[in-house]
Amino acid sequence: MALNLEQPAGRALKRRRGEPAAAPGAARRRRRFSVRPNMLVGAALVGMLVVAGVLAPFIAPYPPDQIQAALRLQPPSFAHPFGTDAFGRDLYSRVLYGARIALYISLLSVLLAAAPGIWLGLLAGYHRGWGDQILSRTMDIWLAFPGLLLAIVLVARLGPSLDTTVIALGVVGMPSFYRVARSGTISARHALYVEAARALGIGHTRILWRHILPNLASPLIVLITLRMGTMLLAAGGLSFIGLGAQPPLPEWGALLATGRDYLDTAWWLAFFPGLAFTLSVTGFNLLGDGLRDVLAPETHGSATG
Amino acid sequence: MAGYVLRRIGGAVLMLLAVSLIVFALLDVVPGDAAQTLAGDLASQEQLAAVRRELGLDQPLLVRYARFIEGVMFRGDLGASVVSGRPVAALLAERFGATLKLALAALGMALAAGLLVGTLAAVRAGGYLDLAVMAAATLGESLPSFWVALLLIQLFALRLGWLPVFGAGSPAHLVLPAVTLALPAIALLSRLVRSCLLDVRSADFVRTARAKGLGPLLVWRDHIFRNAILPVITILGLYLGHILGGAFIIETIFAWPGLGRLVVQAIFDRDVPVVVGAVLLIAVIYQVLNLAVDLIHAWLDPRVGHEAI
Repeated sequence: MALNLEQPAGRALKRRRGEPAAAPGAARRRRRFSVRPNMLVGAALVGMLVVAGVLAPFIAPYPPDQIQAALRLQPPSFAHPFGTDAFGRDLYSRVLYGARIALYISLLSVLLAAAPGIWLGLLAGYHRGWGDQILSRTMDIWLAFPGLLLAIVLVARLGPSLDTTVIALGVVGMPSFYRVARSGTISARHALYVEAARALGIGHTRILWRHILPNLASPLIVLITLRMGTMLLAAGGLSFIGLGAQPPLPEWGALLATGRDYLDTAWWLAFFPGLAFTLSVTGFNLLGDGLRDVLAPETHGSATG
Repeated sequence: MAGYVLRRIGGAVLMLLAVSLIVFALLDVVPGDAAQTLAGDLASQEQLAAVRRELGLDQPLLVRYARFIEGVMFRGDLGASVVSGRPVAALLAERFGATLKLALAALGMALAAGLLVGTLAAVRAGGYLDLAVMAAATLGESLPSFWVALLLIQLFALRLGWLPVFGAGSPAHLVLPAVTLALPAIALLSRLVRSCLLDVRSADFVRTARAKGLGPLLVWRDHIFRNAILPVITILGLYLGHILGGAFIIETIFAWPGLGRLVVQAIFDRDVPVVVGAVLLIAVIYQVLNLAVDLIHAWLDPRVGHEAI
């Protein structure tokens, strides 16, 4: 390659990062063992969310919907670490149960987005042709809606609730999985190991699932982790404006929306659900970034698309 | 280049047609349609049918869609709000102005702060300032904006009383929503600016520039900055599209009379023509911005236009 003095950044840089390292084996193995503290913090935060969500019935000091009129709007204390709401419900217990809902949202909506997205992306990238054209153009139309807009329209169509939010977010999140799976498959389908498998007479389906998919695992795992945080935030935003999970469900966004009405009298009602959000989303982001550094350093920077 | 531009514009137009059909079809059968809203909940079946006929709602979907597109293309007519009776186009124009004001304020803040902080962090890469900036940026990207909004309201509006809680009208009303929208962008931009600067700093052409004896200031200005700016432009374009078409939550919290709040309110009011019109306008804005970003890319980096798409 000729020496290119005035090489602009951007795409060119990305492409250069996209090239496999000269000796990927050794470098990557060394990288795998140098897990950065960021990733540990992320894993710990996500672990906290999982533990809180799974064990909520055992560690919550009160039932999340137990109304105690005498104890309404109590500030945080030893009996009620996060205070109580206008119905005397224990906010700490409600936030713990909210972790359950958060897990439900992030797992299910990412599953709904990833399963069809990856499947279609593999097929389109492997077989190409007009099927790929149609699918890719369809996904482009999806992406012509900015951010939450498509989710909001879908929720409006289906009626606001926790489940319709999850479905809407799943639908909205699909194209990014499609794109990663498709572009990975396109670059892998003429790789030596695929040619070898084909030469051995292995069928297309088996090549796709047993040979290509495992090789795409790294970028997909990173995307899944990062998306779990995104979905959680999006669902919280939707229910915050009333287009998602509805009270009395202790979903964090719904809790925040209630807390908004008591900003000047009971600060804890908005503070703790927001803190729970921040810690969980930070967890997913740190874990995802860390996984990317360890598993798929070459995909750095392409997540913005 | 001209071919590339034409191809992209054609693609954008087709995309918008597809988007409009999808939105139209999706919102076609919203529970309690426009006729129901107009006639009231107590209307009899006959009254409902009459209103439906009047609105043309008894026609098949594709006929109504064709009529809608015809109205948009030739008369700029997006229909009228079911709730207020005002033309949707006028409503959108009014709301777009408010959103644009908010978006530009946020963008200005994000750009200034992001460039400054990112550059400082890159110049002192590895130092304490760099570490602090990166930690703050990571946290800033994970903070839910609606929580940040509530915290800002609590501190600056309720506790200190410096700024109004919500509403519009004076420049003071603009501060809190704009800051809320700018914060995640500042975090993202400073990270991006830093990593781009660091990437470019170790590029071959920078080494060449240093080797031929250029001073550090010139190297930074003419070689590093100029090359690091491309990804920043991309992100800024996407971000602007995001605020212009996606500030639903922030606009709702601060009761800012923009497009996002209009959509949310229209959904609650089941005001289908307004929702369809607003979604279309937002999609147009988004497409135009994406196109602009790509064209700027093609202009700054001549290789882009020649790639197969």
